[in-house]
Amino acid sequence: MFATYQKGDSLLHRIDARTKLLLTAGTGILVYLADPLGLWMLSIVAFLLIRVAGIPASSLVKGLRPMAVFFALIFLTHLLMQGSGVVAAAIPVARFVLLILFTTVLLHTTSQSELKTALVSLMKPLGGFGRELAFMVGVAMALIPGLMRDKETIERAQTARGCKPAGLRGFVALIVPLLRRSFRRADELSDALESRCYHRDREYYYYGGALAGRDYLLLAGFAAVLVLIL
Amino acid sequence: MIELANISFSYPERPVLRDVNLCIRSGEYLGVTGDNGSGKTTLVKLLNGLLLPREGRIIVNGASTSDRESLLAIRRSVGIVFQNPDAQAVGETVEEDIVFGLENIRVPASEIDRRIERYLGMLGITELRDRNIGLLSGGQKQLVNIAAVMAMEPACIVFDEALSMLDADNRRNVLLRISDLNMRGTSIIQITHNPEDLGNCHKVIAISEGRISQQGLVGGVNEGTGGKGGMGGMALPNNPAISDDLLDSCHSSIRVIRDKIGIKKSRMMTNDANCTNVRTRSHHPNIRVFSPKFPIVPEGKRGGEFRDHRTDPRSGVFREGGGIEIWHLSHTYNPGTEWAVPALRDVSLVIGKGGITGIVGGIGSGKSTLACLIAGLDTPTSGSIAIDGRSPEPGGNVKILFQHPEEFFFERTVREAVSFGLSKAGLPEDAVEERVLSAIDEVGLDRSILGESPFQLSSGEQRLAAFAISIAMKPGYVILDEPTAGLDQRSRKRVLDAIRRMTDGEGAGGIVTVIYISHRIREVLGIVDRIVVLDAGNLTFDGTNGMYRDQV
Repeated sequence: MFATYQKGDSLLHRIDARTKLLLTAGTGILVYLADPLGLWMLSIVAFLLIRVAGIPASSLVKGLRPMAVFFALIFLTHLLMQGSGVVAAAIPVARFVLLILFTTVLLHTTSQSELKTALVSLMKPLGGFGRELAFMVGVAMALIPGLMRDKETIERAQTARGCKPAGLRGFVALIVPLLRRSFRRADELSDALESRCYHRDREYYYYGGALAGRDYLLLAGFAAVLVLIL
Repeated sequence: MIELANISFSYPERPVLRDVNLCIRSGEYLGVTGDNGSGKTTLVKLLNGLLLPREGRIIVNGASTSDRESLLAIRRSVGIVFQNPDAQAVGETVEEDIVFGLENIRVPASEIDRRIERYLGMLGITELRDRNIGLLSGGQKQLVNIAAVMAMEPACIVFDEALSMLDADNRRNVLLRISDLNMRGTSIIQITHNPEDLGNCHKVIAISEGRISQQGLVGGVNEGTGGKGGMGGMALPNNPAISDDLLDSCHSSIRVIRDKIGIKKSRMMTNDANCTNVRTRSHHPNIRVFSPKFPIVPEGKRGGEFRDHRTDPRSGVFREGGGIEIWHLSHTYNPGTEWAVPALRDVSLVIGKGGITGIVGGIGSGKSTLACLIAGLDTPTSGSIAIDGRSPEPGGNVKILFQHPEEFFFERTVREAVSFGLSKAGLPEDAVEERVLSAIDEVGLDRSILGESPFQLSSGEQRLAAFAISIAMKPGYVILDEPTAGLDQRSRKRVLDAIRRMTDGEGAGGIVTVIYISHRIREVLGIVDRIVVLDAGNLTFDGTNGMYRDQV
């Protein structure tokens, strides 16, 4: 749904994943709390970040398009049910769009392993549980593209058989093979992971490293902004 | 280094392995063959403790696999590459995937860098290091999986039908690398249906119904001695009449230059035996593009059905007989985005009615893309396709069977599966039954399986049932994408026989034109009338089977 990671050498690529993760979470809070003026300012920030990260417009569109119906629903609900004006109805939509854009920036500039390593390190206070949670998130993220591809392949195969992907029958024709495949894939993947010596106490170090002065500066600056606004 | 003593293993519903005794010595290269369902994969999973035997003991380097404490050490010394390329990778990029295993065994970061470079280079996929795994082809993914396991430098590597996804060029390279590792002391266990993968084995065992049925030494490259016992009906590759590798190395070097309309006979290429290894722009880094070596192939003629495809198919010449006309077809996935992948470039081709046409090519050559376009599942970026003069549409007169079509079953019985499309098309009940029966007969299945669940059948029978679903609809054309993938020799023969029957026009389907897509050139040559070779999206050969053999 969102942009996938693209290796690059932009400033944003070089910032530590932990910092980016925290900043994105913090920005999420800002997006949720901001008034219209704040949203404008955040939009400018989002625009600048997208430019710095070098994300092409096409992949932004690709990320936002599947959500279009959802946006329309939110907009209409606010406009018709709650009787807000057009501008007021657009605000919640803007919040969602901004959230997606900021997340896209994070995912575009941070690889899964960096994210995983960052999660592990941020969840260190939680002990072994934090590590496993981080690993589960990582594996789930790795499985999603495969699931999407499976769904597409199965839809195509059933279409080719003359079975249209509509109605209950179409749903059964999709879901039965999809579940079978997913379970089998999960089985096979766990065999492969175990064969490659996965164990609970594994450590993450290749993508890690100490936070740089830059990271502390960014985090401190952002915390200051957050405190000022709140 | 690995010792199996009196091993038995069973699943609740059935026994799998019975009283297996086997010893794999350090530095040994062992081949394992056997039919689908004979227990090979179970054996593999027993070797590193993924499964534990019901009876008997498995000792790896002095430690038992049932001892939880030593499991990690055992897995560190026995690496496994599994069959399915899609279910082994954890990382998002190739690099991350290799790092995963190395972090697990605590290889220092600087050493990780060195190994990534070394093993990617060894398999010829250095360029893929930063690529997103999800966007690679199946064969490329499998090369990454092989690199990831090799990089962990285990004392023994098991390949569980791990090479079947690879095209001949890559398979040959991987086999060479495996041989290198073996020479330097790594034990290898090669599990395969393909006799050609066993060329370097010191010893080959065949498993049948859960027992080791035959053991034999191979007179391979490493050992000049040793007889080749008849291995369960399997011909060992000491001197095959036509070797896949030989043929494929030639077919990658055939590069027939075509002009916009068709083939120019006048441009003869030098018939030099040394193909100059010029790399031209290929989007698939591991596919080498050779300069031409063979004379241009004249247009094919076969029993009057083979049409002169130098002529513009839109001229109307082909309309009367029908057929598939493909005109300047190009296709790019995700055009205009950063993920754009050109898959086909300016392919023109006419496939007349009747017979079997083979489309062969390596990884990422565009075979499957072409198939999906003909079946109407995708719309080409440019160019046109006509099926009997009409545009292709999904579910139309062209039926396509993807790889492993049995994975798409969703019905409770085989009868329901085969009749589903027919009932949907509004046929009366007795006509449906008649078509179901004749389709089942035609593919060579026993009628008694109609009441069974499709998931209970053996993998060969499942494949045939999937065929029956297609031909029951009486399509004019059937596209089969790797129809024998993953099948053992016996099932493979049944499938090939069924394909021959489909085209003879006497069975249920009437005359069916079959398009047979595969990267296994030898198998294709054994069955097709005409052969089309794709290389990196370009059509590089188009002619009759005989012409292909002559050229090569």
